Amino acid sequence: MANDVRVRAYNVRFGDCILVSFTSGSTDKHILIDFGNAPGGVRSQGGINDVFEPVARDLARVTGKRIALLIMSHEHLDHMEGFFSQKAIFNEFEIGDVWMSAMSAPDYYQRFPQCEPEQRARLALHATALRWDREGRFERLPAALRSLIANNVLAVANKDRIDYIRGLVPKSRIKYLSRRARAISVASLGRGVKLEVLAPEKDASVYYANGGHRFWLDATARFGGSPEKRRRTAKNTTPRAPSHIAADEFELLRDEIAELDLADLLAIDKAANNTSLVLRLTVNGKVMLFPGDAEGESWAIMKQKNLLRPVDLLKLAHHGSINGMPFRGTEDVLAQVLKPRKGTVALVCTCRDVYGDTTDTAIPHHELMDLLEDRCKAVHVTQDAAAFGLGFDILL
Amino acid sequence: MAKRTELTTDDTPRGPGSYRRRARAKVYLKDPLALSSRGNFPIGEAIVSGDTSIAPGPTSSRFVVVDYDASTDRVYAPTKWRERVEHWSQGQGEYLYDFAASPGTRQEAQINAWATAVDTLQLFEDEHVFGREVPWAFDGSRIRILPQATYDANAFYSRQTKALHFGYFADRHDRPIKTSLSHDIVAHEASHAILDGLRPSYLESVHPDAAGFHEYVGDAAAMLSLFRQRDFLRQLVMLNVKQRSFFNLVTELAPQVGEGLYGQADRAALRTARNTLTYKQVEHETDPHVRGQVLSGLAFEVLEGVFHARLDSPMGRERGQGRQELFRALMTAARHTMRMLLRPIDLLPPGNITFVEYISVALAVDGHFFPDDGLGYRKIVEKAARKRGLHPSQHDYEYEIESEMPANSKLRERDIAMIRSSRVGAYRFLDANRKNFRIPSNRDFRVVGVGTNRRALGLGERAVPETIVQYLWEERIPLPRDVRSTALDHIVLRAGGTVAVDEYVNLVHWSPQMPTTLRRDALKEHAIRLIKDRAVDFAPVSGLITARPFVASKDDAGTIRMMLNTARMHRGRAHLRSSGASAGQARARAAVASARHAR
Repeated sequence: MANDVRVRAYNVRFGDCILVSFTSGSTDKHILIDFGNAPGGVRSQGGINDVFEPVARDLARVTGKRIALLIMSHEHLDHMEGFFSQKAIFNEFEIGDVWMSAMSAPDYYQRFPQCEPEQRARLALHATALRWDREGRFERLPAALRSLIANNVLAVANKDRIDYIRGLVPKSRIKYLSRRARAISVASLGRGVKLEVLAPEKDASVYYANGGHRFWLDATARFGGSPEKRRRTAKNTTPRAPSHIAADEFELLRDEIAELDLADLLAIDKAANNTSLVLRLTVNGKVMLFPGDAEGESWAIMKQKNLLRPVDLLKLAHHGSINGMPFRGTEDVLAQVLKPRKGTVALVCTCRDVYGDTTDTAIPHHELMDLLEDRCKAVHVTQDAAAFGLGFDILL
Repeated sequence: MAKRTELTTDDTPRGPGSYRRRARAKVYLKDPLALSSRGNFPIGEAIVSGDTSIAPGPTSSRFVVVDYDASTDRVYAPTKWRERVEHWSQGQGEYLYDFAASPGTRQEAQINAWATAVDTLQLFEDEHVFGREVPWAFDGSRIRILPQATYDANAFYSRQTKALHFGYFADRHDRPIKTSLSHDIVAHEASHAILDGLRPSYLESVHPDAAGFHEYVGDAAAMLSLFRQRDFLRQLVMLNVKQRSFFNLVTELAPQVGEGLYGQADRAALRTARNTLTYKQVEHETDPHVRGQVLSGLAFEVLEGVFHARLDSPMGRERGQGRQELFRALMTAARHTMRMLLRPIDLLPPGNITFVEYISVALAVDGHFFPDDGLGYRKIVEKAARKRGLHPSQHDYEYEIESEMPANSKLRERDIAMIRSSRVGAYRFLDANRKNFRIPSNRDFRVVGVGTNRRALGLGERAVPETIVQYLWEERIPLPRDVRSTALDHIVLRAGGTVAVDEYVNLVHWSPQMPTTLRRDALKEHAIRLIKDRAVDFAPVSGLITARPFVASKDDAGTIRMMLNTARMHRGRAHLRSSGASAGQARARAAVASARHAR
């Protein structure tokens, strides 16, 4: 039917790839939101990028290689790796506009120096990861940690990935967006389409705060705190245990200390997730919310600023993890974004047994899924709804 | 070159036929800055411990130095003693191990951190304080000391790594500063480990007083352990006792690290215990260091008060204020302060602690042992507590630790051998007396600690041994809907108490902590505040903690465990130098620094 909105979600293992299609006048229009998979090193299914090619081919088939708007929510590989990986196919696409989060703007950290700890922390994590890799220590880390690190640093290491997406359109058709009061209209999408940017905030340092103090991410940036001249060239060999300590006890201590340092990793991961572009899209009266991987801090601000409204389709943030909802008042937020009487369809782009090794840390989080099952018209989980590399449609 | 003197203090009696081991080590009695800026002040040699073992590292029965630098991933060789002398002392065989290193070397930091940490443990285990061995909170007997752990202006105790981590950094003039050379910092961090061993739940409490109490114990130990070093006292009494600055070396904590971080013009030390802070002023303060300063201020007031009371007493006036008399008065004042303020820590309830509860126990314990307060020292504590708004009479009754103990005649199963035998034995005693100790019959409480002390009352006078039993049970408190999340929908209130009995199972002390409405509400209020302040995080990956002050996780039973992130307790003020910083970076850092100072 002419007024239908079709949301096609792909099973890209652990990542997002969502195509929103509708008809405007007599033309089919397509908005593509993210395309990626968690990098290698995860326990199962992640890092196997064989899904990218069939998905890219299907996207080409469904869209006729014409995408009106391409959105990259944030700089994590599980949201962007597919574009770069399948550039041979995407090079043939005709793309109208590209939208990214404000933090992806090349000059962002010059304009917002207060956000510099995030960048410094990520660069330092990258340097640490490289060092560990050289020493063979990286492979000894738990798989989920390796994946988290890779997800955060590979995009830093390989600027080509982001540059490729930027290069898909002329500079004038790239927008780096943060929350704005008014909806944005895109002429090529037609009149019935309204796009509202709810997050991120222009100054991303608000997400690093804790009780008014910004210390936690500043502290994380200490990865890079050691002046270069003080760093000795790391040897490629594992240091030997001192003579008065049993070798295995020393190795354990060394690994425990490394894990302690990696504690900062979550702060870095969280900071990047909170830069996600949160988009409310209204097409032919159907309202959809695509929050990328926005975490609690971003939700808290959206809630505080009274930006949340009931929607017809909610893409769950952060793959259904406990961090993908506000830490404070999950039920309150769900009450604001879900329509009463089970009027909302939920979409969870996720893959089980990738992250989290206990019931309570597993992604997707069982209690959150239970809440959705209880309050939504339907809950579509990409892993259950389609085989790897295939998509499925949700009609609104 | 600094003047170095030697000092031996250990006279711990050992069983006949046993060889005891002692070590003599060069240590900074304050830190290298205190040395250089005050001429001959204060470096010395401390004697650490009669111990069961001493080995290269240095290593002793409860501590092992592991010189691993995580920033460079390098390991440095353990320090061996310079010489070992075997001799007879007081009819007993003894090995005296001599540890020494040149200033500025890695070995110097290894020895300094080890000797100071060992001495701090001895402070608490002293027969005038706990009079018993203190366990660690982790599964292990030796705590690791990493004297040059990482390039960071931070030092911390970690239960996870079973270690004390001491960072090093460069000050604004690019001079290297090692936190492990600071007596105050090492004593402070060792005290975190000691208190965690005694009361593990305090690091798991959301009440800000519990974290503040940890900081206070660290600062108080840093101050009071100085008085165990005769060399320090010898040099202190050279100063003019009439000047207000007389006690500055005691109250100004970690001067070198303080100057390295803030500059001399800003602050003379990392923290000071000479303050007039009241509880009301810090009631809404979340920084445990600031909060804890109310109690460290009180501790110093007590120390100073007892010292002057001693000098002003008829006996003190008769003796005059010669150096020998000052020396004796300082030793006595420190001993009484330890007895009145550190000793009660062993009798606190295990679940949680507020400042008022602590003062309440301290006064009750002192009242029990010294009912007449002939020298008026308890009055000094009461006066200081009242001034700071911490006297139990200034607070709601329900916050007090009750001192009304059940009558001994009502107790059942008074078998001291059974109580001492194990936690189960102690449980049997409490279980038989649930009603007396107000333990709900429908609660499956558990005993979390049993120990017997060997204390001294005065010089040469020994107390009847006491067996101290800690017990607790947990109650879940649901969080209100507007702050609840799937990850954190309740908090845990730990109720219970500590019972001390003598050899005949007469009750010596009881500090119950009942799950009252006031306690429930206070805990809930603090938890909500932490959540609103975004100070809590959930660790979605096993073994990974976060950068936030609190980490929540669920145990097998689904109960949420909150844990203070100790690695971040002392971090955040650091102002690290970093090469190649852009102007923007510099501006951002300046803004952070200015915000910190504005606080």
